Amino acid sequence: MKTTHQRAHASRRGSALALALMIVTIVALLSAMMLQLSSAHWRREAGAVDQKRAFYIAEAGLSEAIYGLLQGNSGIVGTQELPVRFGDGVFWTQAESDAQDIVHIESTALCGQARAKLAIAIELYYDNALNLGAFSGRNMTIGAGAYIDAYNSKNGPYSAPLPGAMLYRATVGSNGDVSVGGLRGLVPTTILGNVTPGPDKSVSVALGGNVVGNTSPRADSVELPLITIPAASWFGPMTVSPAGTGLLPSGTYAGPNMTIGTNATGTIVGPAIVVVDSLHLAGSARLRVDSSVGPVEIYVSQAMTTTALSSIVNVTGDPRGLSLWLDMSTRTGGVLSFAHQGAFHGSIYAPRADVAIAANAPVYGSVVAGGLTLAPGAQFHIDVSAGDLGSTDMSLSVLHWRPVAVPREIAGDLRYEPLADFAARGVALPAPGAGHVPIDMAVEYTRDDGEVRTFRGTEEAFDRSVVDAVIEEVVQPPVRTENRVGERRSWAAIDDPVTAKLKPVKGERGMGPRDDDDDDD
Amino acid sequence: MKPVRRNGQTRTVTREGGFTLLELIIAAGILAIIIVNMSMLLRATSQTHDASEDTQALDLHARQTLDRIVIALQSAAKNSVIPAAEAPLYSSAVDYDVSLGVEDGELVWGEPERIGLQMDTGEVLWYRSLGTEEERRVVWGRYVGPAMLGESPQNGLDDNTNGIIDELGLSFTVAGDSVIVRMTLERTNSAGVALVREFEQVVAFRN
Repeated sequence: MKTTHQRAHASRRGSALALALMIVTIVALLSAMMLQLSSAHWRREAGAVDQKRAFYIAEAGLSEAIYGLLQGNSGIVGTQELPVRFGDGVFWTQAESDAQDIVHIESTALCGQARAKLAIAIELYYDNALNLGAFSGRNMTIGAGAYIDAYNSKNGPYSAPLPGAMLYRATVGSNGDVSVGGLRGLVPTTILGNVTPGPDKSVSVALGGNVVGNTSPRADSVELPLITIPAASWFGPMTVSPAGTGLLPSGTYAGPNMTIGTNATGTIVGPAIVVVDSLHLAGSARLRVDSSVGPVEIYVSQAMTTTALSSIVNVTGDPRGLSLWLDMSTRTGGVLSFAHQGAFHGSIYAPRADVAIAANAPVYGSVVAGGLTLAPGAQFHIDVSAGDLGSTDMSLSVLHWRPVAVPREIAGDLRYEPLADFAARGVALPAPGAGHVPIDMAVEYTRDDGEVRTFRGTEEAFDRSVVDAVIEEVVQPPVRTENRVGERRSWAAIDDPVTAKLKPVKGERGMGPRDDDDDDD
Repeated sequence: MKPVRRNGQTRTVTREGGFTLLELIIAAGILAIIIVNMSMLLRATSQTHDASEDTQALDLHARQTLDRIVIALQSAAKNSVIPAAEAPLYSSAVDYDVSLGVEDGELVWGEPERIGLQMDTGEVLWYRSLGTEEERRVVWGRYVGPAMLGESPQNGLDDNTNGIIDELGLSFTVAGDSVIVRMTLERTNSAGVALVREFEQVVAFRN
């Protein structure tokens, strides 16, 4: 039987421990709740940060792909199976060109549990002074009512751009100031593109003038390289008597002058290079250029005169087929007034002369001169491909950019974290510079949606599941085992008939393995 | 205490007198002071935490809204943006066309889109094919204030000296090849604390 003392003893036993346990439990529960709240908030923040990272990694992928293209690689960097590592994520790119030689690049990036995919369409062109479009080494004057826009002769003849659908921006530039005129009657001066003055120079636009583009000055002056006159076989004077006709077949010719008399027609068949000290077109003289087989290049070292009734006719209408290289200086040749009857399809490069474009001579191509003036009412349609005349350095213009939906098979599993997965599998991801895919083959094919695309890259990087029908396949044996940016690989080499193996398989669905033993070359 | 042995039993002798009333009152007073202080501290901490959480949530909401606006405008063609208001003017809604890609050498444009402020609800709304049977409307963000932080609307002055006059809680201003998006979010949290946050982002057109 318990005594009173024993009961008192028993009632106090362990009560402090119970109380302490209760308090510790409450504090632990509160801490757990706080931790959970903080954790949920942190996860939301981390997700937002990862999404931004993924976006910028995809942007980096586009840049890396473009860099690879400019270096002569395929523009493909990494693959979905083996992407390249960049920062806290991974990316891979795909690149194909369409029937207009526009390169479509897609970059997919994964970072943590975030995914992003961007698409871009770019056009590559060769660096050449003629790619400057309309350029003046000194101040430039654009007369009232003049119209300047741009097109791409690779896509066919010129057609006026639809309102709001300016595919190509005209590039009008100068090392000095640019003066843009205003109204000419009721006709405004219109420039559909950028007007870029020289460093610390400006663009003045008169009332009624309209520049649909940027007018910021350039950071550095553009140095116009002097003309290198090519070597040509001596031919002597090239003269066509008044009302007569003359023909220069394909070849190279050098002489003191080329003179075409009044109402006479002289024809040059390309490919041809003509080097003369002076070029004179009298009265209604007509210089006819047939560039259907190859381009015609005319080099003039001292003087050139034309009249308002004379004409230089490029029968193909392709500006890339005719180039005038005028080496005379303003001091010796004065202002070269490019009077002309009808349209001129070609390019003029005159780094030391002042050139004036008349109102009745619409120009399709490019004009780069020491000084350039467009008369009131002049029409200038700049060909963005005018510089594709043999230079090997490539540049690009961006036609289109946009984010695209991430495919379900990539976006589906949100728990998948790429870096952790590759690390768990012991796969070492390459750096972006090591992930460039070279061009060892080219396949022109029709996709399921009917679009014609050309893939350039390697067999491993080509997804044949998207092929509906192969139009032509060109395989070039690899010449290098290394695959690094910085090693130049020419795009032109893939079309070299000597090293390439042509393999037309029209109408065939290219799903199965290729027959590598096919010896049809 | 000392053990006392009696008839073979051991018991502990303690003082059984208990606490005096004064002791209890003092103890209760001290306990009350501690509890009151603790509760004040907890309440202040809780309010600070709630305010911080709510501010962070508002920031996150604003960033997500801005990200959507930024990506949409990046994809837009600059010359399709209407109105292209330049400072000190602005617009609280912009219409634009998005490039879908290039086909046969020509740019392909999507249906016209609009981003705008719904004043009565404080919502940022995105529309496609506005005014047609195919119209789509999505709420991209909420809590947009009636005016930009520091701005008194409709007084013709640039009160907050940001170069824009009388701007609403969402404003678009074109500057060269870019558009500046400004947004002020206002929200009163459960504790009755008014939270006001201002955001600004410059978006360069990519097309």
